[in-house]
Amino acid sequence: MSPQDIIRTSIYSLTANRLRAALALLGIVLGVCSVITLMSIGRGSTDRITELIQGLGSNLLTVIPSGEPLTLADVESLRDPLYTPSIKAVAPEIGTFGVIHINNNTTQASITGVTPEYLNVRNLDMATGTFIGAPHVESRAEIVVLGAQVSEDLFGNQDPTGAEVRINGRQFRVVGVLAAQSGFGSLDSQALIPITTAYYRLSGQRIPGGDISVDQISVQARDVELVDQAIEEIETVLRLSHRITEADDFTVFNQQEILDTFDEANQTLVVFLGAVAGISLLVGGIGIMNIMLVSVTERTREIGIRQAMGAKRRDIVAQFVTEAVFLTFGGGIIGVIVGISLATAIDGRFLIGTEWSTRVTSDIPIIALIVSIAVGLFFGIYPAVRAARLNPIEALRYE
Amino acid sequence: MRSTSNPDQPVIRIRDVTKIYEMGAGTIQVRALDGVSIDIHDGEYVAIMGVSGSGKSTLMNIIGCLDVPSEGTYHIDGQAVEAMSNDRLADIRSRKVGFVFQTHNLLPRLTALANVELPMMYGHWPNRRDRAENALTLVGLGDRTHHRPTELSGGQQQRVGIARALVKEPSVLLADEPTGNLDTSNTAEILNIISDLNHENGITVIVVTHERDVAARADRVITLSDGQVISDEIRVSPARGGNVRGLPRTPLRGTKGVKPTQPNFAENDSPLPPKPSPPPSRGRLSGGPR
Ligand SMILES: Nc1ncnc2c1ncn2[C@@H]1O[C@H](COP(=O)(O)OP(=O)(O)OP(=O)(O)O)[C@@H](O)[C@H]1O
Ligand SMILES: [Mg+2]
Repeated sequence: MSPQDIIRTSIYSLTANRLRAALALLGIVLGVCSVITLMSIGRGSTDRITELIQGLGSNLLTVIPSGEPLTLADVESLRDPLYTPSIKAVAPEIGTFGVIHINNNTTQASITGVTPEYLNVRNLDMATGTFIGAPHVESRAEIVVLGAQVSEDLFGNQDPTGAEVRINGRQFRVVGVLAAQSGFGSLDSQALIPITTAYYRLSGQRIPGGDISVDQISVQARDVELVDQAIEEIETVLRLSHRITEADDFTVFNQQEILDTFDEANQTLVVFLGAVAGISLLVGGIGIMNIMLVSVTERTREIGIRQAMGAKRRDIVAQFVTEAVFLTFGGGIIGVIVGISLATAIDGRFLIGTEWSTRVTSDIPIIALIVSIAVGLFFGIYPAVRAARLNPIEALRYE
Repeated sequence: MRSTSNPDQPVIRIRDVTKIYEMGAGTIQVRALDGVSIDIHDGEYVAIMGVSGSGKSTLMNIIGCLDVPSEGTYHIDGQAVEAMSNDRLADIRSRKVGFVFQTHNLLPRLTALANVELPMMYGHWPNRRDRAENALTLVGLGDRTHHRPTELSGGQQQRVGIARALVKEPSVLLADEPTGNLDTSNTAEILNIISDLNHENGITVIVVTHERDVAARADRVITLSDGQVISDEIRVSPARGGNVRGLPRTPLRGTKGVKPTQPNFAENDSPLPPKPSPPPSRGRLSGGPR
């Protein structure tokens, strides 16, 4: 039997029961579609994490208190180049929450008290105006830099620089607006004020000794290579100034490590989702096998006639396997089209509480198609061999 | 000459063939054939008769290589069928023997043409379409090539079955009650086609029938009973009066004593000259399986 004959015969058989063929196809369509979608989501979130790492800068360290509070005195110690030669900049912050309002517009925002270093350490860009300067911190100035979203909520498209807003009842002057950011850890719905203002004017907490306590200190190492060294310097300085002999009362996070962990978790999730999608493809394959087995039984007489006409076992096997592969390949193509459309449709959308980011790379449909053909081969072989093993006379007599 | 170089060698040589069907997990044994020995030579026209259940179809299936004997030997063209692989058996089915079934056994969703092409497809023949069209024309269905079996009458379906069997120019044409379901005029038509194939093209024909007048066309009538050959008689074909093939022979009874030799048979081994009409445009021997 020539390949054209095999293909023609298989098409003839498939068109004999279109509804059944369509249902068998559906299983594969769903399987391939979920493989495509989940793989694209996996690729998309990996991309986003990579973006994030680059955005944050891989030389960023975060120190948070885990016992004694961290203070501005600690910040000063960390800034001493004598003890911390590997550190480029230190940016402390205090986080509170507040209601900002102007005239009749009100919005809630995280209010973060920061120092001028914050701008560079966190890689921020200004949309308009200026950032918080050293004199502002010195004088506990009541000025504010708005996140893009906060600015839009309060002022629409107008430039708010110079405007007066009220934060928790106190009057603040807007000196600038941050450029809009995307994705993770965005400062769009925050407002930044001088750290001293935050401490004395907005937050209620005080520590004995009159020093200013901070919630978190961001430390920028001079270079990615110097990150480990910077961690050691931070630990040495803080242990000295906190007079620690046993357990540390602070924790240093390596931003890179956090992101690596996150990336790892993400990869695990992607593999897991891929496995789930794979299972649905497998179920589709079993559906194909089921349909093919039914079809072999139903077409026993046809098989008998073909054998009586001189069909060899391999001709019968070829016919049935080709049918199964046609089904899975057809299902694969439809699945690829639907899957790519779905992945493209959800890209960048906010659904079920998350922002989805997907990326369809050219290898994804190729993998999906190869897998679907393999599924057809795998699950088509058994029914095909069963068909070929039929005894011609019994097959002919079958009613 | 179609078969082997030795004209005396029978096309079909069956020796002590027994077919046992086991039923109910081997508790019941049905001896459908019980020690059958038959030789059939090239160009013979044989009718097999016998009551229902006497083993006629079983014998035909074995001759057609659709089934294998439980015991005994069967040689086709000098080759032992028992020793053949599945593929070899399939080859014989697609090339050497043409089988006409009582119940047509056409594929319902294929056109008459495609049904006739089927054995050539499995036998890798060239010019399938032309050959199939010629074969259909030969059986008088030249204008029905694109009809499906359900769009044809019973007699027409049977003729498609014959076209399908003869298109591959078989050495042996097997017909298991080919006219069982047909009226008299259709029966006559089908029998004429079969007789023509035997007379003009020298194809060996074996027909199973219940009807005397169908058997009357044959040169030789073998009667089965309970799986055994109870008579095997060479008769003078009325249609051809006094043909050499019809040399009277002593009817033999029993299974072992069947005389396989047929004097003068070899003289008729070459195909008879074709009749002028209908034009047998089948191009015999002009091509074959690649
Ligand atoms: N697959 C089978 N299993 C069991 N017994 C069978 C089978 N096929 C045939 N037989 C038995 O073998 C015997 C011969 O059957 P066969 O079909 O050859 O008869 P037949 O001469 O063709 O009859 P008919 O004229 O009715 O077609 C019967 O007794 C039948 O019951
Ligand atoms: Mg029968």
